[in-house]
Amino acid sequence: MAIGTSTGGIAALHDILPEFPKTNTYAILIAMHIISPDVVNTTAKRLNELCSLKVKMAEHGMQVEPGTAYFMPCDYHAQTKEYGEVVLINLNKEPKVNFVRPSVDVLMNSVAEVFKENSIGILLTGMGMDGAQGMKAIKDAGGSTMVQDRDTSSVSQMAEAAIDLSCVDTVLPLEFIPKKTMKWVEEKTSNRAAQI
Amino acid sequence: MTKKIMVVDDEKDIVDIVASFLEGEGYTVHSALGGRECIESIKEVNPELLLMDVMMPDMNGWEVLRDLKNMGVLEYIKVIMLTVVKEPKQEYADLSPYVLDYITKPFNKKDLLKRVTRLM
Ligand SMILES: [Mg+2]
Repeated sequence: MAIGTSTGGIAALHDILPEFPKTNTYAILIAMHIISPDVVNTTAKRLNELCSLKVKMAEHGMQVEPGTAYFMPCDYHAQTKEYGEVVLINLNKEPKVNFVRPSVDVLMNSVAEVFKENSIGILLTGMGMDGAQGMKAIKDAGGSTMVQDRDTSSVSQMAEAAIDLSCVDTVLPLEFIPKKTMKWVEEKTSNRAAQI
Repeated sequence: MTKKIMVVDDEKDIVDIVASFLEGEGYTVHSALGGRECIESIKEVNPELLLMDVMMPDMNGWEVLRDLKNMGVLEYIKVIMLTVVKEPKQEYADLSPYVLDYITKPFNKKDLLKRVTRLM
């Protein structure tokens, strides 16, 4: 599953990521628009201590493993790529998309392509329009999509841009997001062996 | 060494109240009563975090961030917007990677301190 966020995202992730159980049925890929590598690294380290999931920074060529949440590094686009049996993270310096790198659209488009109906897209609080196209790609691939509601968001532009594209299955207050997501994971896992 | 926070707001009452909250948590607070004052003193103060108002008579908070970005200092500073404006305009979407949080006035002390602490 892919999570996209920007402004307000650090606080929101601290609230929800510890609620996700460690299971071998899914991985989480997080693209957050933040300019400072220090801030993202520190966030990943802190969350690794608070979460039952393993939380780490994604690296080029890293294999996507279940039970793990990956933060995409600053100033790279990140995509999932299928290589035979495994899925790897590909980082690149292609031009910024929606003024940003990593772009949530770029990440989600690749997740939709690789994981199809098993993919889940979540947009949390954030500025700008990045992520809306990626959510649509996930929806079009048969995946499931969710956004954080306005009341619990610092800024709800990213979520609203996706809602405007009519590609959002559900809008939820932040605290309900982990439970609903895990329900989707269970449904997808029982439909077939879900990988993400 | 205590962590430095700069509060930028044209309303002195707001600067004072935010400063008292933050000082109570052990932060060192510097204030600027407008965009220009912020730009003039930013290098000297060298804050770890900036709490930035949007609506100010001399220049709006987003324009201040643009100037700080052009000065090459913004990527080293964490920014929280503190404003009565409910949502930023799309024309500032390029500043999204610099703005770590966005707090709407009126704010409460507990929420403000929670969000600041998460970033420090
Ligand atoms: Mg003002």
